Amino acid sequence: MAEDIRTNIRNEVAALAAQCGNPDATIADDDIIPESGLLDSAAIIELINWIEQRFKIVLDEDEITVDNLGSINLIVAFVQARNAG
Amino acid sequence: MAVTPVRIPRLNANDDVVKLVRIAVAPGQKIGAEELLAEVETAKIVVEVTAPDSGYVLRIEAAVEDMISVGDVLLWLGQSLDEFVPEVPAATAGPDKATRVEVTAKARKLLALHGLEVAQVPSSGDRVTAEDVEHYIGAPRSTPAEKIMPPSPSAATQLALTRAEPLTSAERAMIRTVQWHAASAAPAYLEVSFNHGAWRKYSTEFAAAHRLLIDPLLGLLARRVVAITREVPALNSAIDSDYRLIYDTVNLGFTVRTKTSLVVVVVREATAMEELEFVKALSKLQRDAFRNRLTLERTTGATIGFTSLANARVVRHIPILLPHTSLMIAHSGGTERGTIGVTYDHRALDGELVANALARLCDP
Repeated sequence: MAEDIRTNIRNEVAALAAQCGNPDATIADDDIIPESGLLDSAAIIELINWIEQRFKIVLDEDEITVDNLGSINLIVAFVQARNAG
Repeated sequence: MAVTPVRIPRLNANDDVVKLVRIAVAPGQKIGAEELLAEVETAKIVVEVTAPDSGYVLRIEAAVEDMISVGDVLLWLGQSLDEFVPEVPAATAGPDKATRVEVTAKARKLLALHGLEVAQVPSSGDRVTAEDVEHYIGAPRSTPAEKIMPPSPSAATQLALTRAEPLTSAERAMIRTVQWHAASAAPAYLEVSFNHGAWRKYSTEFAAAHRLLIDPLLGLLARRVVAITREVPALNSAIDSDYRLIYDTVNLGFTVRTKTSLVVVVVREATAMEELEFVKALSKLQRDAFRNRLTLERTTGATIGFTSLANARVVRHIPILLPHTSLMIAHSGGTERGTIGVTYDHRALDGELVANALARLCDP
């Protein structure tokens, strides 16, 4: 289950990175996405909206932090916690 | 004193039309300066219209219960009773009283947003409502075919033309914004010194301190423009015919480029917001723009504007003004030290005032 979520997120991040002109870029699961420089601010907004839609959760502005959604692994943990709660 | 028109004043930024609830004078009556002429009402308040000078009431152009547009002539004053009163100029005349159509306040906002005239919109009842306007702007342009025809192609394009695609509502809104800029403003452009490197550093530190996922740079810049406007209120004003509209709060219009369209989101009541509150409010609007979940209130009523093409690696651009504003900041990409641009309405602001005010934007 967690692996499926992780794979989904990896794929989405890669697709958004490609849109930003980084088609061959790789990002590790613990890398901080904004610091990687692979996604511009519009792509990060798209990623947040995708997380809400894909995992059927609603994010408050206060939840959109590096601590909650900053890396692929953090997103996986956050989504699992929200769906479990 | 020559014959003087007394026009309907603007009472606030949101009401383009007022209701005439009382006329306190009659034609031929002698009145003194500051004497009460009439009372007009918006959705919120009743305001007295008083005489700018002493004289005689020559002609009254409206009747009680009429809905009158801001800037329309209410009545004419003269030095003597035999002075010639001109016909109301076409540019400011409302519909003939016999055919005057009432328009709801919400419909007025929509009309202004889309640059439409009341006469263009068919009403479904005895007044034009927001639903009528929405129906008009949202109605598929292809039906009914006999009512709305695509434009005739010029001879040069006849061979190449295969079909005419209707514009989306966002595209039509943007075109009307551009048309307001071209037809109603006197746009000028200048650049002021800007320290890209220092702002990037400030933004990075701000994001780290508040653990923000979305880069706050543009939000912080826009918030600084709001702060500057608080110190220089003239920046937050606009010219409308013979009036200067002075807005009492800043509604910051911010352009967002989504996958499908270019829209303007509006951070309302921005004057009182602290940096973090403003940044989060703007982020929420940007997210909703990308999801196409914006309401009318969140896309209208801007009093100043901000746009950035830094993501597109543009180094200079000259933006258009939003309707009924006098200032649009143009952020671009740049090296450590560079410039930031601004389009301003030269009817409302002069270059030195704008340059001096925006010099405060140079460093965070």
